[in-house]
Amino acid sequence: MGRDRSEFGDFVTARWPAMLRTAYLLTGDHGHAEDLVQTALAKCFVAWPRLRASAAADAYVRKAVLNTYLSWRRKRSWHELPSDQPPERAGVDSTEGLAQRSVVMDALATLPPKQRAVVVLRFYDDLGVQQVAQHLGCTTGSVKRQTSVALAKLRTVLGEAADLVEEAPSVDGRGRR
Amino acid sequence: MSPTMKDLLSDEVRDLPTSPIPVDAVIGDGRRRLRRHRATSGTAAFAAVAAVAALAVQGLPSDDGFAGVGEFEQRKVTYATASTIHYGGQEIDVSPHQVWSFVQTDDGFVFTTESGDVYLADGETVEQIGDGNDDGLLAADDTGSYVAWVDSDAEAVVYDTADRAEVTRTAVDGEPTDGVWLDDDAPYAVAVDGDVAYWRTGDGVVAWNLTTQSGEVLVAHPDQFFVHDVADGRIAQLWTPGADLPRHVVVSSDPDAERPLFPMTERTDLSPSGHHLALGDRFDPAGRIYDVARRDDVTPTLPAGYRRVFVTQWIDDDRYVARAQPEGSDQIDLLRCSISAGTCSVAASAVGSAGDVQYPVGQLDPY
Repeated sequence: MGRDRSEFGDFVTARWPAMLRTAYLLTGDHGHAEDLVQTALAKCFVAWPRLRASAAADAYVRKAVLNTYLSWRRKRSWHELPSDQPPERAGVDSTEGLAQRSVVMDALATLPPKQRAVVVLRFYDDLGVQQVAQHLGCTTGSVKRQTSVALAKLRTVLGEAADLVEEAPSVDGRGRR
Repeated sequence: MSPTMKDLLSDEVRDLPTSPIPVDAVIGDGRRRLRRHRATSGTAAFAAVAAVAALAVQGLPSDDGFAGVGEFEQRKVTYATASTIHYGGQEIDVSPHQVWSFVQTDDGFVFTTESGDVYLADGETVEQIGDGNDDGLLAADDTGSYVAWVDSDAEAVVYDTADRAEVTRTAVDGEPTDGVWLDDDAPYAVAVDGDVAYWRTGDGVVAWNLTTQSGEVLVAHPDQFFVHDVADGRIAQLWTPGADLPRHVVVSSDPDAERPLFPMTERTDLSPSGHHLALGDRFDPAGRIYDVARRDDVTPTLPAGYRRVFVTQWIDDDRYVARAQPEGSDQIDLLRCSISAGTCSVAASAVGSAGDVQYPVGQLDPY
């Protein structure tokens, strides 16, 4: 099977917005997020002949985004590095939407890459522990530990806004909404 | 009522600036990657490549899907000195890094530095792929693209050099649960065999299936069964039958099956199919090669005047490379030997002083 440009283009068009949102939460930077998604989708292009015939294309592109993100972070080629220092705005009023979002992004930036990925996959993408483990190539126990440590750190960093992270997803990945 | 984490993350991305989706740029990037893969794979048979990839990483959506068809698939006489990896007649410069220990995969060479950083050299680039490997211990199969190590955070890592991505990172524990301490507490990677990686932990030797991403304790008492190597399902272990009984090397794919016994030695390396076993010991100047099934000594005839002969790599199931020191010299010669021909010849002479030469065995010169 070949690489049908139109078909792959449709796939890119369909998946780009969602992948960009996930990538932005991982990177905290719009430009980095675009680079990340473009690289991941280019990798998908290479594998497209076998992906197009399966239902695995979505999982593949998400995994490619994660692998590329973690690889870039390992090479320390990233401008936004995790910091143990809490953001200065930790005490912000949690009812202020815009400021609150900035606080959350600042808090995410304090997490190591894998913990940040776990938080984004579980809380934003609504993936279950097993799915996250498969995406990250680790055990479910590791995902649970990473989630627990990440949430504890987010609570510490967020200060008064700590109740924002009280709602952990259940095992099947769904929050209590 | 406070919003949830999901709400906050969703709000954060709701108003992301919209820009045209760069479909042409993505496809252009993809085409460049495809050309690069085809150029390095040395094959134009895309379907065959895809099939190999599917076998190599089945069940795991991979980073690019072209595992196991790398430029360095062939095993040649290989060693490293300082910042140069010698691969047949090819020299691969990894400066400014100095090779502390290294292994070969089908896609290049994974090496550590004295500081514990882990790099992949593919003949064109040198890319850092890990750190914290303070012991400099690496494990790789005789063929394939997986390399394993344990870092200083006590996490076992398996990296796929074809996909340029980690396929496993999982916590390992050096703390024994049954009170049996290892002679060295730190966990480390023992071997990679196909899609199974083996590492030694406080609970014993763990076999980690890379397809299912799950592990089982294979050998629960590492003080009695010290796993040296695994090849094609056959496991070479150092076995201590009892406190006052002599230790042996045993080879088996089934822990309960009858195990052929071999003399205990310092170095134990199975051939790729596990049919031959190389034993090396500083007190035996020749080193020994055994036919595992028949337990016959099939050691080829060595050129005269060598001591400290150890197998450093298997070229295939019949041929291997050994390091050897001429009597009265600290210089290293590399011998190429054939079991079926029963002979060895000098493949490279005086490649460096003992201690200055590294071999693709995944640890600092152990000889």
